[in-house]
Amino acid sequence: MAIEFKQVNYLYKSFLHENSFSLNNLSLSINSGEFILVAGQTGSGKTTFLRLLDTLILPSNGEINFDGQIINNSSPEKILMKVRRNFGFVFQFPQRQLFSPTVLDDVEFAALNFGNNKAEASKKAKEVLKQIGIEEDLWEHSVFNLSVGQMRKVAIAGALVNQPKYLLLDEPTSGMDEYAKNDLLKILNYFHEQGATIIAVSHDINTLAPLVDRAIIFRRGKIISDNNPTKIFSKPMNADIQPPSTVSFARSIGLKSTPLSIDELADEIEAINE
Amino acid sequence: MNNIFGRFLPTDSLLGKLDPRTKIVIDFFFVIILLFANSWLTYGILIFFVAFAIYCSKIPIKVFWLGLRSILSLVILMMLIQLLLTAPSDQSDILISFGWLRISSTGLINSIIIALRFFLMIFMTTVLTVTTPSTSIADGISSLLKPLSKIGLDTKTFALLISMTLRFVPILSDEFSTIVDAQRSRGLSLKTGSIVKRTKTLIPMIIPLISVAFKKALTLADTMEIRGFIDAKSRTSFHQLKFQKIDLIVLIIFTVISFSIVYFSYAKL
Repeated sequence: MAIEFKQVNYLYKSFLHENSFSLNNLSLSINSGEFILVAGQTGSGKTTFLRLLDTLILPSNGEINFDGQIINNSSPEKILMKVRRNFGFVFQFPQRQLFSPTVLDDVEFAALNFGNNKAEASKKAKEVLKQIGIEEDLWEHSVFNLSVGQMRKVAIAGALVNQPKYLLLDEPTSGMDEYAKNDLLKILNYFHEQGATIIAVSHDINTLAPLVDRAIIFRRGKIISDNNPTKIFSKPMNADIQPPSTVSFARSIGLKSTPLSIDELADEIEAINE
Repeated sequence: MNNIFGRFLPTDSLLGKLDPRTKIVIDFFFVIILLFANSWLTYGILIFFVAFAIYCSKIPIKVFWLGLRSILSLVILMMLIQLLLTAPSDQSDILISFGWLRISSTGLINSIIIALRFFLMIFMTTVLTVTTPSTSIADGISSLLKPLSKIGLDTKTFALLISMTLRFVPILSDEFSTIVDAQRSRGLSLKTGSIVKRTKTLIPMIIPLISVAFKKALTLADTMEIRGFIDAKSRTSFHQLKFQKIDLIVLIIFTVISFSIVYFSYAKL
């Protein structure tokens, strides 16, 4: 067990009404090396969950155990920084966080902040840029002269530069075409194979469901399903989440199985034909 | 959602029902009247007026505190300047003397007055913005400036600029929160390190914000152009402003208060 939420509440302050629960009495464990999809309707508490994981916000009540380090609403900044060191967070539209004069400088930023010297930071940044697939001749370019796709990759490199144990992604595929999605999935698979725990909040069930080991579905700040995606999508779904289109198609032609990808669906159909 | 500036909070309050022009006129003249106040009695009247306006807005006081909190450091800085740089009028005026540093009762009173003026001004403008949608504020300003269009001023564009500024403050404020989170997740600490280090942390937050603001502005300009805003003929408004009896009553009350402030401040001198 790597991370454990113990009866965590998070209250959002409201100007006019009672403070509302964004997360309500949340208890769950996240194991090392898992690839988790977090889904649910807008406003169900998914992004709050990610922000709590990265200690950007603290629980209103309850506590979170990060590999033995307990975080609650009175944890000091120094401890939070220590925990945060293990996380890489790729926000929705991550290109908006870029600011440095060059690509290399921007990727080095997190490495320098987390205690590396300039030479180490530069080495780490160059390694991750190669892994992400940013060509060397772009490293000294201004981040603002890159295409949106390249900017996204640089921002992702910036989150991965410290080789984090946990990678958090908020709507990672939003606004991406199929090629860019494939590129991103390759990157995620690579880091997952290296042992990183990946937690992705997404509405893009079609893309992520075939890859993940576990799916957690939120509704109004509570977990309503937590299982492997095949088990979750084999049951009739409610309005909180649509199953992958391959599952809907399989059902429409009378298949009882739950194919999460086109390949699985093709295998099922082939098996019937045989 | 911590920044209250520019946010409209819908309630069924009396102030929500007032004509935006009434509130804009009161806000404008309130700032001028504030400069006339020169005694505890006149400040007392203004504090009572603002407290009554807050009560009538049906908005919890904590909301106004949030508006104030964002400029509190600026107010404290101005208070300190007044406190430390106001020369004592005579020896008996000195409260504390420590080397070259002399704090006088005049400086102390001046700093309290500065803070009070700021607080009252922020509270009154917050009353306007939380009880009036930005479109209504723009309509109100546009209507009040109408006479100036006769001398060739483009009052509609001016009103639109104000409306957009008000509308964009909360949008950019939310965007800024996301950028801050993104940089904090990359190890930027806003709470540790020296003052110089903390000041430097502004760079990774301000540059992306400027970039986002430019992109949003360009998109907005395109959408306005597509919808034929530029060179468009004079348009009518879907929301018609209505000056009602209650507006007249509120304006009369404000006028009486304004004259009483002027009277108590100067007429007796």
